[in-house]
Parts: sequence; C-alpha cells; structure tokens
Amino acid sequence: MRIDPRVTLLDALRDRLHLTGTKKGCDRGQCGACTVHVDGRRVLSCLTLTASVQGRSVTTIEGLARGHGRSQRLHPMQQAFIDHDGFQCGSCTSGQIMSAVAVVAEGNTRSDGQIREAMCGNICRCGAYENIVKAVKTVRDGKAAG
Amino acid sequence: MRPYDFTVANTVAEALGRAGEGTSYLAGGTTLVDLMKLEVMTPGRVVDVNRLPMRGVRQDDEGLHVGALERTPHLEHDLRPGELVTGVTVPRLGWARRRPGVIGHADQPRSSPARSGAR
Repeated sequence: MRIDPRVTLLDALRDRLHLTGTKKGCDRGQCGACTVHVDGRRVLSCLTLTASVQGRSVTTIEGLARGHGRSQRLHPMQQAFIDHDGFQCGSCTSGQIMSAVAVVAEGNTRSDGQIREAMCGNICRCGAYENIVKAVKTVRDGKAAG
Repeated sequence: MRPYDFTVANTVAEALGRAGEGTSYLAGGTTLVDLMKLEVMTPGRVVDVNRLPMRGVRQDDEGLHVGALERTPHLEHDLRPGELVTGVTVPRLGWARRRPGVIGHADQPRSSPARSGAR
C-alpha cells in the first residue's frame, strides 16, 4: 500500500482498508476508541502514523475472532463483553476490547483497582465500567466461554 | 496536517545526519502527531527513530540511565516505589510514550487517576 506520510493508522484502517471496526472518537488520543495492537502492544491508532508501522503486525477488532465461517469463535474477551453486558451504545467497545485483551496479557489485572487503572484510557460515556471490569476478570480467570 | 517528508533512521548517525531546522524526530508520537494535526508543529521532515537501539534502564554508581526510547511503563516496572515521581498519564499513552519525551515536554497528567509513584 502506498500512502501519504500524513495518514494516521486509524484513517488507513477505516478509509483505505475499510476495516471500520476501529472507531474514531476524539482523534487526539484522549478517548481510546481507536485502540489497536501493533506487534501485540496496544496503541492509539489516531496518534500513530501509518508509515511508522511498516513491517509491523497490526491487529484490529476484526482480527480477534478465531477460525472462519461456521467454525468461527469469538475471542474470549469478545464473548465476555457480551456475557457481562459490557457495553451499551457500542462506540467505545472495540477499543475497550482491544485494550482489555492487552491488559490481561500485560498482567495488570490483580485487583479491580488495577484493572480500572490499566483501562482508564478507554472512556465509556454510557458508563459500562462495572461490567467491563467483570468481563476482564472473567477472561483473567479463564472462565470466558469463547 | 502540513506535508512533510517521512524517513526512518536505522542508525544514530543517520538520525543525527538529518537533524536541522524543520526536522522533527518521531518516537512515541503522542505529542508530535497530536501537535502536527493541530498545525502547532509543522516540520518539513519527520525522522522515525524507533528502530535505534536506545532502550533499557539501569542504575549504577553514576545514577540512573534511561534509554532515550524506553517506554514509560517499562521504566515504571523497572524502578522501585518512590524512586521517581512519574506523573504519567493514561496507560496506553504510556506504552507509546517515550520517557524522555514526557520529561522534555514537562507533560502533566491529562486524565485521572493521576499516578504518584513508579511501581
């Protein structure tokens, strides 16, 4: 893909690759809705230049589920968000889930407080935080159905 | 955002060779890209320095040595409580952020909960 050096990873994903699962909220690094993984680490795609991730592995919400077709299964974190009602309007959800997956991988889940702090860059204006924490704990404990 | 040339520096010498008026170095980017969008910063050339071998945190008799490209959370994990008051912001910004950038810009926490110490 040839791309203008000014294009952010967020705009490249949405407008060039048509992967619109990643959401544009504030577009200035404050809301977390655009969170994706680069080489397994969570980043804000709105503040990441596409040119700077050349050769790196980018994972979006579209890439979390396993398998294809009828055998496709949601990622355990996706299933946990559904099971615990961890969203209302859904605008922040893909970013919340990408962050949550990374938070579990980082090991920042020893207490509710640590989960909340690690997730504090993802704003949910519906206020689903209680259930988001429950979803994260379910995956941490290996109890998610996905 | 104003147009600019984007290049990647693979060695420190390359990065230094491209220094000069109108050049900005891209590390974490959480400040630079934000300000470029607002056209507060309008570099003619952006040099990505993330591939330079400038990571790591170590302490010796001379003091604390922090790699210029060390990520903020790594620094926090490597230190004991009370060794440094970080005032770092949001964890995910932290993963992108490079510590000296935060210090250099004297950034203040932009979101609660504020952190008061390294862990």
